[in-house]
Amino acid sequence: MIISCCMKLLQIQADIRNGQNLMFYDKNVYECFSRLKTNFLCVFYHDPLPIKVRLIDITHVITGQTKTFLNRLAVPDLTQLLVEKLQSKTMIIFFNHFERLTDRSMQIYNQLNSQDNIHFICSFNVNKSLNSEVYSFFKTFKLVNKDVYELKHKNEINVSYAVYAGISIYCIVLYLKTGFSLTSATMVIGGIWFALIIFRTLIYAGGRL
Amino acid sequence: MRFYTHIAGALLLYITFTYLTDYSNLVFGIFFACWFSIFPDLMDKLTGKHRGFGHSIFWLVPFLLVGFLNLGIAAAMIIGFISHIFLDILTTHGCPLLYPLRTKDFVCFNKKRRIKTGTNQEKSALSFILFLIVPFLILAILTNIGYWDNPSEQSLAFASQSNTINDSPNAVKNNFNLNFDVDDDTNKNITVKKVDENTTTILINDV
Repeated sequence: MIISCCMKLLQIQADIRNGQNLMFYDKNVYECFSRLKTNFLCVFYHDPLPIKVRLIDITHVITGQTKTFLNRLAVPDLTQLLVEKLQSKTMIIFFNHFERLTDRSMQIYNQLNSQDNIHFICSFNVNKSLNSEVYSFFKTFKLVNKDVYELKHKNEINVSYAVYAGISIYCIVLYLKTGFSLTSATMVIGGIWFALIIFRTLIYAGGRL
Repeated sequence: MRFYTHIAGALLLYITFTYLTDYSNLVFGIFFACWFSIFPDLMDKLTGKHRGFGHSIFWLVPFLLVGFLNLGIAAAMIIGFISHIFLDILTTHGCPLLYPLRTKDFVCFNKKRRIKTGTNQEKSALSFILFLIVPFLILAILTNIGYWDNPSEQSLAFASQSNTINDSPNAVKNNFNLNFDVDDDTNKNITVKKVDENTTTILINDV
C-alpha cells in the first residue's frame, strides 16, 4: 500500500514536471497537496468559486500581501499581479469540485493555465455533463485514477430479464417433474416450503439477534 | 462470490439436474460439479486478472468436447461452470461472459440490489441455496434408488409379501403382471414381467 502510494506520488511529480495537469475522480486532493507542498509552491482550496476570493488566496500565498489590500483589486489586476510575482517559480493549484466551474471562472483559470509554470491538480465527483469551454479545459488534464472512474461508470449489459426467465422456466420444469412423479413428492416440497415460511416469519418477528 | 457459495450453487444445480434427468451417478457428478464450480477463479488466479479469461463463456467449448469422451463428466463440468457464472452475474461487478472478445460485464438486478462478495447478502444467498439443497437432495436420492419407478406396484408387493403363506410349497412370493394374448389361429404368446429379480419359481396353469 505504502509502496503503491509512493509510486503514485513519484508519478504525479514526474507528470507535473512534464507540465501535465492532473485530475482525480472522487478523491479529496488535499491528501495530495499535503504530500507535495514540501516540494512545490502549492495552494489548496476546496471549491474553485468564487473566483475573486480564490485569486486573492493564491496571490496572498505568493506575494504575502494582506487580504484587505488584495480585496480592493479587480480580478484582471489580481491575475496580472499573480503572474508577475510568480516569476519563474512552479506553482500547483489544488482544488476539488471541478464540475462546479462556470464559463466566467473558466476564462481566469484558462489564463492561469496558459502560464507554463502554473499547474492544476483537481478532482471531480459528480457525473455531470460539462459545457464545451469547461470540457476543453478538462481535456488538458490527465485522469490519474482512471480505473476507479471506469469501475463506477463502466458500460455493462443487464441480463436481468433473461435470468428471471431462465430461472422461471427451470422452476416450472422442476415443478412439473415433481408433480407428475408422485403426489407425495409435491407434499414434501410443499411441507418444506411451509416450514421455510414459518422459519422466516419467526426470524422476522424475533428480529436480528 | 466466495468459493463455498459457488460450491453450494453447483451442488444445487447438479442435484436438480440429476433429479430432472433421472441421472444415476449422483456422487461422482457432485464431485466434478463442485470442483468445476471453482474452476473460473482458479484460472483467473493463474492468469492474474480476476474475472477475466476464466469467466469467459467460451470455456464451454472444451467442456462440450469432453462430452464425446464421457457425457456424465462433461455434464457435471458444464453445470459447475455455469453455476459459477450465474452466481457471479448476480454480484456487483458482474461477469465478462464474452471475454476476451468484449470486456463488458454482464450483470443482473438493479445496481443497489446486487450481491456484494463477502457480505451478509452473500451469506443469506448461501443459506437460501442450502435450504433448497435439502429437499432436492432427498428427491434426487429417491430418484436414484428408483423409488418413483412404480410406487403403486411396490406398495402392492410389500402387501403381498406380508400375506404370503410360507408353509405352502407353491406359495407365490412376488407379484407379476401377466398379459395373455390368446388367438386360436396363431401361436399363443405369453408375456411375463418380473417385478422382483429374486423370483425363482413361475407357475402358469391352463393358458
